[in-house]
Amino acid sequence: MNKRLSAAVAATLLLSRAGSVLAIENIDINGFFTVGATISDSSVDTQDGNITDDVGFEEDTRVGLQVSADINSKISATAQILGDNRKNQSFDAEFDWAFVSYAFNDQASLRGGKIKLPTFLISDYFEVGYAYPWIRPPAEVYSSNPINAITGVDALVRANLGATDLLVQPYFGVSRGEEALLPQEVLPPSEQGQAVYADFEADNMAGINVALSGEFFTIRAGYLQTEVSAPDLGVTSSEDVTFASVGATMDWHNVIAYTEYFQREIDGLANLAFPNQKGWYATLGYRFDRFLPHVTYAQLRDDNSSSDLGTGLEQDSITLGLRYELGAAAALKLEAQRVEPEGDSRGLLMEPTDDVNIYSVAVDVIF
Amino acid sequence: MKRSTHTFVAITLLGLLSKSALAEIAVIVDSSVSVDSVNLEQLERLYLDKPASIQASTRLTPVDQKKGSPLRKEFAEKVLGKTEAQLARYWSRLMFSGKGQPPREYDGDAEVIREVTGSPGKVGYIDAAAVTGDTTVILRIP
Repeated sequence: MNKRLSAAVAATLLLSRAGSVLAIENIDINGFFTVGATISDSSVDTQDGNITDDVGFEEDTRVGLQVSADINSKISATAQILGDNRKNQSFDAEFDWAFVSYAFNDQASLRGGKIKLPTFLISDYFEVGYAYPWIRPPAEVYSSNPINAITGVDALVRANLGATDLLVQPYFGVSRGEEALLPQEVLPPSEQGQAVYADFEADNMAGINVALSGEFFTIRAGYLQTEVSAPDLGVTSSEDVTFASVGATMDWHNVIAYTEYFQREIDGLANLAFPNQKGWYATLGYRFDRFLPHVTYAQLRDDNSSSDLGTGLEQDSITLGLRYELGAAAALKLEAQRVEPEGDSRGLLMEPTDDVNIYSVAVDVIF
Repeated sequence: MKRSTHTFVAITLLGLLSKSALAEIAVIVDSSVSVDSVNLEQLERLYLDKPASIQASTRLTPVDQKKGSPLRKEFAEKVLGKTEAQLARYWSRLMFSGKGQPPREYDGDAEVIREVTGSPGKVGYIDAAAVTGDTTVILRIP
């Protein structure tokens, strides 16, 4: 898995450039790759337009490359390049995140740069399909925070408490130039039925992620507050946003379980594009040797009051999945999902409709 | 005749299996490093990139055997309590979230010894039968 350039090669490369004397001890290059196909039985697409009633590869196909370098015993630099097609980028590779880390000791480190936001249990490795059971983490929860990464700093503080390990991760930063999928409800009629994205800015983002891990489980909680503006949408004022989430996962005697809950609250004009929502999911699976069959139930609910401007979305889904280990660095996954928009809502689809069935297959590889 | 061949094959296979199941693992450091007693739990934490609180004369860094090698499988099961697939998932979560790198891998006992020797602080594990005088054994795992 680790492809290493020897210290000699790295040093030669660096020395050949302007006589640099920077000594890089070691460089690691790793990567992940997912190829996935989807098809649905409905003429109504998912709201990002990626899953349709034709076989499509847009939703789940992506490739990532991670480069990590130890500058010295205290400082390291890590960057991840991601190419995907979820927002019609045609696999334009871009830096998903990149940071420099300073380790005070085994227990504490400080990171600065573009940092993946730890909103949920698996947010900071959301793109690495190999690392979790589903083909894609439940959208009712994972699509609720359009901010994937912040430019800023965080601290990772670890403490060993008997049989468990505590991680406390406070962070502060900003998010500029991220794109959020606009709700169909705010689009002019000429653009309805398409996936439209808009730039938005999040300033003064402060948050904390706390996780407690034992041999068989992890429980976590997170909270963040920020001020959002979206000049493209006419939201020029900064509107307050709070986001709270809790979650737990277990891997105990071949029983696999995940569950998470979130609540987001967004004030003023920004509520038009990002209404108040809450949601949760629960996953249960059982590992039979190389096979991991699992079932997930997920709910997304409107949390707006009558004075809020936006339209809350509501849907339920049930997913049956199977993960099969292809050796120690690859997995094959199959899923069948029934999505049910609730009430008059379109849920996470383009327009209100009856139930939609989605069938997916994917292969995840790490290297 | 045929039956005795089968018996012979079966006995040989059994012998191989019990031999690999009985391989003793030696955990080694460079001879210049002094390490207080290490237990299995501390070793597990060191190899999973968790604060391990091992008292030593220098900072300890683990090195690993090659992925797929019998000794790595044995070490993962005996010390880390994981299969290789579980270990791969564990590291994929830590590594791709930028929160830790897995120990570097070396191909076989001789390479592990070479890496540990002369690099004070590096910790490796090898088949106990391959131990040389260049390193200090800090733990034996039967």
